[in-house]
Amino acid sequence: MSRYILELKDVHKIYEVSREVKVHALKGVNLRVKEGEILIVMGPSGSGKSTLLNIIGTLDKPTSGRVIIDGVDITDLSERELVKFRLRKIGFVFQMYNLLSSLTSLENVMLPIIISGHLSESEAKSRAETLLNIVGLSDKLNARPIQLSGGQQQRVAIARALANDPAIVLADEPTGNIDVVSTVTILKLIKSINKFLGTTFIIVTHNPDVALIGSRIVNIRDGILYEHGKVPHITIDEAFDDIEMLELQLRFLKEELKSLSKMYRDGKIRKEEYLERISALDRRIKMIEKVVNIEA
Amino acid sequence: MNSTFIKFAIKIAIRNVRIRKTRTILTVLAVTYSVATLIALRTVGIGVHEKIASEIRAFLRADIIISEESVVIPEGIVNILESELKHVDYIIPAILVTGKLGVHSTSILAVEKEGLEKLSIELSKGTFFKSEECYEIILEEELAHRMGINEPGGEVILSINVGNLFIEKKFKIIGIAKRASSLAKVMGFTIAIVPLPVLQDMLGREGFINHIFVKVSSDDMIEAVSRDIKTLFPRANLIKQTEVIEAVSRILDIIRGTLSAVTLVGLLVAALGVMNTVMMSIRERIHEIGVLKAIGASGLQVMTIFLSEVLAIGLSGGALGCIVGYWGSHILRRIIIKLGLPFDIPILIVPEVYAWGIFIAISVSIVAALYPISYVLRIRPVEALRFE
Repeated sequence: MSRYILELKDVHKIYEVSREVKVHALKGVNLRVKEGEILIVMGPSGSGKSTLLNIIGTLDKPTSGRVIIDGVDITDLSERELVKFRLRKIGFVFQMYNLLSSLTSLENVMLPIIISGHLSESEAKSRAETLLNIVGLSDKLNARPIQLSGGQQQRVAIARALANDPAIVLADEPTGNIDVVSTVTILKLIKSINKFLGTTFIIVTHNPDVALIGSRIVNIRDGILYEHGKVPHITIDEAFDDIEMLELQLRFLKEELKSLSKMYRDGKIRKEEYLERISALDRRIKMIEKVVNIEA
Repeated sequence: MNSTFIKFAIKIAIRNVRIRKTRTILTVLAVTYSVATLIALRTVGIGVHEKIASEIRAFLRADIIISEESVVIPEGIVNILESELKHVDYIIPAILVTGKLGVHSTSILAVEKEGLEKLSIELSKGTFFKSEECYEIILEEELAHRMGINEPGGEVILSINVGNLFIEKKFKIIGIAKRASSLAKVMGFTIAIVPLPVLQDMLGREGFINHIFVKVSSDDMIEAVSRDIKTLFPRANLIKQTEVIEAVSRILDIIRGTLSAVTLVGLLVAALGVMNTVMMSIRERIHEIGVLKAIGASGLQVMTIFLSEVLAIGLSGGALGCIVGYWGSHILRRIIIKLGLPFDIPILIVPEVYAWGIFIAISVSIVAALYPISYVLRIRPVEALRFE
């Protein structure tokens, strides 16, 4: 039975533009997202999508209501605690990619790992390399963002979002600036990562194609959330015949396993957290191994 | 914050500095200019001070001078001083009065024969006194030049005014002495030297003098020896070499203070330049700051990246300022000489001055950057991300 990775309880957000003018952006949103889901949030401009995403991403605080991520009620955490939480639990993919222009792809992916301070530079580098392999950019490790196409930049951004193996990746119009062919690549990638790395995705989009990879769609209108029910399944699952990519993901998980035990040995994480994460990793590794064996 | 992150922050900072080349270079130049001015003025200042101190020493020719206007000090005091004072190299009894050689006013110094060597008076032409009873005179170059005398050998009338009396004697010019101090030239001070017993005889003051030159073994002992002299002769009128140097230094300090004010204005301009650069850099990259904060960088970590940039600017400005400042002090020296100061200023490399230069460059840059950088700490990621 999957547990809830995200719970929003009666979340309101009111922006005070001036003393008289108040904007009620979210009006009592209740939402539960299971671990391993791809939740699609659809809605027109000004419907409160971005506000919702910012609150889930801990970048903004609700006016009232509770936000619980991975079992932690983060509503009342201080900015300092939120920064730490964000670093570990949440990955962001933006519409405009938002890579640091002065850094190479490899360095951009290394950045969150280095900020977290858990791994050495060489460990961070090998991990970033694996992630860039997974997103299919092993030949662009030393390219600057300006030398990459939009689709490639977005794949670097996805690798960066995965750098600290977050519980949730939040994507705001991830294909908004990308051509159709690249969109398909990115969607396949998200689906595959979701399935085999077990990462939960919450994607805000206008694009009905993007909605196709979702396991659930919700609509937001004028600050109110409407559940849609299940999404018709589509054939993008066929992307999983890519054994090579699965093997790369397997390698990433095994490396993750190694660095987890190192972090535990170094006293950087507590025992309960270590055991919990080890068992989650184990599950995912077994799952990939099963698929790979069947295919082979 | 760990060292891996700091290394990464420096890497990002250096890349950004390179991307914004022109602006960085201009800011670095502003810092360079102010540090260079600071170093050049200070180096030349120290050189001038050293030079003037050595000129004063050469001019006074002693560390302590006991002086009276009229010839009233009994010569016996010299013996008492010689037996009582410690840390003293030599003591020279002398008479120093003003007189006229023909129509030329000059100072007349009367010392014993061995006193001449101790005062390190060198002759360019002629000889020292043959005996102390002869009416012989040595003229300083400058004085000889004014009197139109090129070679020793002629005679000259020396007249000295004592009270209502006018005493005149004929002296034989036996030597011409080199000028020992350029300060004397600046002050228009000239000197003629005669044997002590001869002047005493001429003035009718046998056994009396009005100056005693004391040479102390080291500069540190000047105070102690002066105290000892005061204990022996409480009413003695003392001139200390150190006091004269101090008095002159005070005047130099005022000049230096004025110049420092000019430097400070330069420093302020540099600080504003750094502040502007950092502000622009931050404004341009607010979005990037938002991204960094969203992916989990703390305010302190983002600040480290910007501080590294500031440090790079400060450090390169400081280092460049040291080099330019060194050459600048040579140029400044030439300008000062061109302006008519008659002596060559030594350019001394004082490590402290350069260390200060770099320290000031870095600290001014950091202080200037504090305000814009504090913004990085305050801004929330949502606001920063919204900024295009």
